[in-house]
Amino acid sequence: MPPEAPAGPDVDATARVSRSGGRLTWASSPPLVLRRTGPGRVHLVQVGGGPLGGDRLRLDVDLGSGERLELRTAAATVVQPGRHGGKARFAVTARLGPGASLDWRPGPTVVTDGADWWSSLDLRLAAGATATVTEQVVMGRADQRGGRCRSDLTATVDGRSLLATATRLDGADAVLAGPGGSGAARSLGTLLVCGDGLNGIGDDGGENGALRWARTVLDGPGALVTALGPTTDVARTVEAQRALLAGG
Amino acid sequence: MVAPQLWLLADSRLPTGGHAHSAGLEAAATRGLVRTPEDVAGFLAARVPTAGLLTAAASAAACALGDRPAHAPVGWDPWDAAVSARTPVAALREVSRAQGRALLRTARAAWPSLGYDALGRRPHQALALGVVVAAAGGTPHDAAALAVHHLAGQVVSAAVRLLGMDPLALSAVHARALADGAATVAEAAAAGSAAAGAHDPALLPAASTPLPEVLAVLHARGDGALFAS
Repeated sequence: MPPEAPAGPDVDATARVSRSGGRLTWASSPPLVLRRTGPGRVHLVQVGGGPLGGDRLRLDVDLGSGERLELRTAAATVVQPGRHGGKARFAVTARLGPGASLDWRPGPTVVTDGADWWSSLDLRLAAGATATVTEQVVMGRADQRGGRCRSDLTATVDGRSLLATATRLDGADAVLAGPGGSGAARSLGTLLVCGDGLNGIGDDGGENGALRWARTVLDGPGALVTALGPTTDVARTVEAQRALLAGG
Repeated sequence: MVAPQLWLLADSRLPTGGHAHSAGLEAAATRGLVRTPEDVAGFLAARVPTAGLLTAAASAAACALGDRPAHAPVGWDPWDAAVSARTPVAALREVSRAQGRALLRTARAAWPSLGYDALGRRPHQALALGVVVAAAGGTPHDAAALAVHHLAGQVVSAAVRLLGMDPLALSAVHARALADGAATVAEAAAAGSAAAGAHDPALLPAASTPLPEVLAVLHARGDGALFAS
């Protein structure tokens, strides 16, 4: 039981952010607090020292036709076991109208020993919408091997399924940390770019010390980058790929 | 009791091109990540409930769907997209389609069926397998079991050829993987049948582990490999 885990009942919260007609609206739901930090930018602030096992957190994003939104987090997310164990759940759903654009780039998620984290991101894009998702999971604090993590990434474009993955990690499980799992990588980085404009982008990849990464083109308008290895190498690789594929 | 004609579908001597694939083992073995029979067991224990669950469930769904009269052909396009979406690595989608095509070619001779045409020329292997199992008189559970059997068989026979491991030790690994895989087969059969019953490919399970997917891309880009995947 981590000493910093606060007492109190399990959290059940849904925050919302939407943009239509050029107008940004948002509704916080503690401990998920949203702050506008720019004309088309919102930061998610996790208050109160979670997430903890048993928490259920949701974020709904709705972008009208042609609207743009940059979504960030104010800090790394540190997932802890909580008082009664159980999964900590974070579900993000984003609906993008025609020509809308979402850039979801949260800070890293640290899954501490004994924690059980299930995050999901469900993207529903209309034709001509674009989404860039950059995520990084870190297996535990510096002296830890990390807890259990399931990370779902689902995308449909104009109603057609583009990507549906559910990645399993568990630092305490020899099978999932083995060569058929994560290869005991300290960190996993993921970049998903969906939408038109990836012409000429093919598969790529590389190995450098403990870093292994790959980019692959999806069966539809999108590409996926996966990087495994030391935390800083993974972050650098994913950022370089994001700059290449999505610019900025 | 399994219908005797299904035994042929389980036989690695049936010409379907499966012998050219290691289901990811070669990429791990050439990097020294898999060295011993215990490593092979661990590799299978990670792959069967993830990649195996997906192909087994898609096979089970296709078997349930494929068992339909010829005047009501299945609209396979959303199922094809669902399998593609769960197979993000482009090289593995190609492998799947090449094996699906090879399986259908053999099946047209062995178990003629009007149900194959709707699948198209290069269906995903899991969907082709399900329809062929239906044509051969098998059940969705049989289709799921065959999918897991093929995954385990590819990994184990690649381990013999690549690492020169003791075939007896690997037989024990193989038997244990199939016994442990029974839970995955049951889960896949139920999930695939439910997805088919609801005509909703989004209900197919998805589960993956990251290293085999990264290595699959690197393997396809590299030279000198013995196995295509």
